[in-house]
Amino acid sequence: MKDRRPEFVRHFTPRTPREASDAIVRNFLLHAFPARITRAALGWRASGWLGTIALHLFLVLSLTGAVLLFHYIPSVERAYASVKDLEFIVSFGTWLRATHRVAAHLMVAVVVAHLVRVFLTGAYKKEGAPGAFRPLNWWIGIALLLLTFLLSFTGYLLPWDQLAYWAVTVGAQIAASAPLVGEALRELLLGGSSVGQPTLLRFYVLHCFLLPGLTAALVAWHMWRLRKDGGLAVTDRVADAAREGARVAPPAPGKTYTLMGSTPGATVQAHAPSLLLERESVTAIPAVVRRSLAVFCAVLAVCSLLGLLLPAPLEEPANPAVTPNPAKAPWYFLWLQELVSLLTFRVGGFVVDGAFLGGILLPGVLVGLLAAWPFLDRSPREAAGVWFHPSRRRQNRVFLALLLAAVALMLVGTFFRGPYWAWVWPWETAPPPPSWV
Amino acid sequence: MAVGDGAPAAELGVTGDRDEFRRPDGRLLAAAGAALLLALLLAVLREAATAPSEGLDQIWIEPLSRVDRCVSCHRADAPAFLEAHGDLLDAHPPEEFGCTLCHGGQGPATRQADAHGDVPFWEEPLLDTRRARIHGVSRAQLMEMRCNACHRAQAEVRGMPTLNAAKQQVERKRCLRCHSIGGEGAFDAPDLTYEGDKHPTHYAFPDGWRGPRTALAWHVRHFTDPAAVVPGSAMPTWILPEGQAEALALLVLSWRRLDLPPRYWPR
Ligand code: HEC
Ligand code: HEC
Ligand code: HEC
Ligand code: HEC
Ligand code: HEM
Repeated sequence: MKDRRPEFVRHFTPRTPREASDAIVRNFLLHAFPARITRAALGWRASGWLGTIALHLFLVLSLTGAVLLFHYIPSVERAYASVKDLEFIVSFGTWLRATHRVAAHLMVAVVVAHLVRVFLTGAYKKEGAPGAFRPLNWWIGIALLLLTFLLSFTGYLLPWDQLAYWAVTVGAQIAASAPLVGEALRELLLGGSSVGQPTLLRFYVLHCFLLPGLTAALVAWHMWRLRKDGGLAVTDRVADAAREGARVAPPAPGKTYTLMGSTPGATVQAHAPSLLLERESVTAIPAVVRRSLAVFCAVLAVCSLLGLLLPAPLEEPANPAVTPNPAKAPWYFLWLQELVSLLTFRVGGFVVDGAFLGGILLPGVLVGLLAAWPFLDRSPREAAGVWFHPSRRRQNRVFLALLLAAVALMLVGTFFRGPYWAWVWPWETAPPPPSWV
Repeated sequence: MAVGDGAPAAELGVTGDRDEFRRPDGRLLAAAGAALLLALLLAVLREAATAPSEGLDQIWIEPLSRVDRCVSCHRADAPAFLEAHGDLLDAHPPEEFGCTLCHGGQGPATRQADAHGDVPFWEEPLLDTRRARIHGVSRAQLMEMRCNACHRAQAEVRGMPTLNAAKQQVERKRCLRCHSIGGEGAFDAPDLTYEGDKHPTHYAFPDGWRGPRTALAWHVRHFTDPAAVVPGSAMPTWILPEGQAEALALLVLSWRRLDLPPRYWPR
């Protein structure tokens, strides 16, 4: 059939698997994709595509952020006014800001959901194909989670309004409660003893350049490791099933669509499940490329629509003399703030330092536990890549219980806390704050 | 049909009817594309709907880094404008003073509610007729509070009858016996130099407070009956003539820190 598309449009319809895989290797952008992918890994069930959604949210944030960069002025005198100008006179500025904000919130939520997915499917397990070592990707993931929090937190300061100023002041107080290095840590964070111009500049550089760059680099590593590990963990299970059913043809020589590189002892080709699994898999072009594009468009669409519905807040200009009561952390840190307040109490003449316990020790222990978990999890290799594998029942329950507890504390912090962190009911509306005239 | 390495392409789910992901993903892509277009359309519509109908205009005051976009709606050459301001414009040309230094309101804003400061998180609303009325004063009287932020050092200024009278009260009642203002006076009572900067949330309103919860209303009540708002207050209770409590309240609230270059301070 004759192709009717105009010649200046670059188009590509692979006619053979070989052409499809060649294209993947030749094209810079496409080479991030594997040449083939099992249907199980491509499906929605295995991963919810949550990692990809997180990545696309990061892209949306980078795009909107790049435009915001042209308008924002990182100076304590002018930052607030420059954000007001975005709201009032920059074309589509309100929308841009709101979309950036919505995407940031969504990214935190989706990255956590992705972690939960990886945990519940045991996809971090160290038992994999030769050459695979999924715990490394789990650790890169933990670093990405912390980076996501840091990106969000540093972005919080930039509008230089009351919300920003006091969230960072509270955060710095928590950092200062660390033993021995606390004060130094606070100085490092703030560039002084209180939130000021040096802080704003630090957070600006971190938020706009350093942290996004680091995140992009780690994401690339994350994706590269995913390929070295032979794809999603579920692929290993598909391979097991295929081997058992003896439906596999012996590894065919001379294929070009292999994983790149090799591992000591054996070539990757010989072991890569995707090679054994021709019938269980499809070529990445067009299946993965098309679905990624569809997911990206969906993410962009959801962010843009929510950006129209949910305006980004901008409170009064930062005012060191007026402490909002209560000064609440962003929602994803509220469970920690709640713990800080619960753990601050007095025993006789001794005051228990909740800031250290709830703000530093507990998160530190949790991150440490997460990092060590691939080696504490004693379930068999068959449990990797399977949702709620029976052998992991107990750890899944504990994990979910902790998660639910954190969510519950977040809800308490959001809806049930009033001035002085006292309990209020959501229907008890406080009188509007007094004004000058 | 080319067969590169022996296997018929169709069997591998690459082309034709065997591309099982084509339809569901195509549908997702179409839905997302439609949603994206809808978002764009709504964004354009909102942008058009919220732009000032007369187009955008502004007064940018370079030495103050201030911008007032009031002139998008209130033309500074309209007859009504010239009439309302009279010879005030000679000493305070709008292109140098803008509008919000006298009027309050949110200078950068372009929509009416935002510009007039009738929105959460904007602390200096427009001193308009409505706000004046709920405090029992006229708009011109309310605005004297702002005039006097610049004119505080002068005992008598034309166009500020209310505060001229209040300044005489301060002399006559000898507030400096107890208070200090600008380093002068006694230190038996709170320093009043920048009383107008005290944040509204720092005032204690007694239980059962009636009337507006504003610093202005608090001061009016405090000047009429100090002990009613500060139990056991040592501040004297005066029998003030009609309107003098309001005048004193406006006066103390006008005492604010202003960071202005010399050109903006009256001689
Ligand atoms: C989007 C158009 C718009 C902008 C911008 C705007 N105004 Fe107005 N303003 C109006 C309209 C319309 C009225 C008359 C209707 C009313 O009184 O509510 C008005 C009324 C007023 C009044 C008389 C209100 C009264 O009741 O005493 C003053 C004073 C005023 N504006 C000052 C300002 C100042 C100062 C700014 C800039 C900070 C400003 N306006 C910005 C539209 C605007
Ligand atoms: C020097 C102080 C000063 C400046 C600067 C100033 N005004 Fe006024 N304005 C006044 C006073 C005083 C009144 C009269 C108030 C009254 O008598 O109630 C007034 C009245 C008005 C009114 C009300 C007219 C009416 O009939 O209700 C509007 C609208 C207004 N000004 C807009 C502006 C705008 C827009 C600017 C900036 C371009 C501006 N003003 C700059 C002092 C000022
Ligand atoms: C931003 C500070 C500022 C504000 C606000 C301000 N003025 Fe003035 N005013 C000045 C300055 C500066 C001069 C002296 C101008 C000159 O000498 O050129 C002046 C001069 C005057 C004069 C003429 C000189 C005199 O003493 O007779 C009058 C009258 C006056 N202002 C009244 C007002 C009134 C009424 C208001 C409020 C509606 C007001 N001003 C608000 C700064 C201000
Ligand atoms: C006999 C001493 C005395 C004199 C005279 C006096 N005050 Fe006071 N004033 C006080 C004391 C004491 C307080 C603190 C208790 C209170 O707030 O009522 C106070 C409080 C105030 C406050 C509230 C300060 C705050 O932020 O809480 C204001 C405003 C004030 N005085 C204004 C004046 C003015 C204006 C005059 C002159 C007309 C005056 N006072 C004369 C003793 C005095
Ligand atoms: C910026 C944040 C992150 C991005 C952009 C990202 C991206 C991705 C992507 C695209 C995948 C492919 C599978 C999928 O879509 O689920 C993936 C897999 C994976 N991610 Fe992440 N991720 C992030 C954070 C994390 C975090 C916080 C963890 C856990 C601590 C983690 C651990 C893993 C692991 C172990 C895999 C392999 C899963 C498997 O083999 O089934 N990642 N990631």
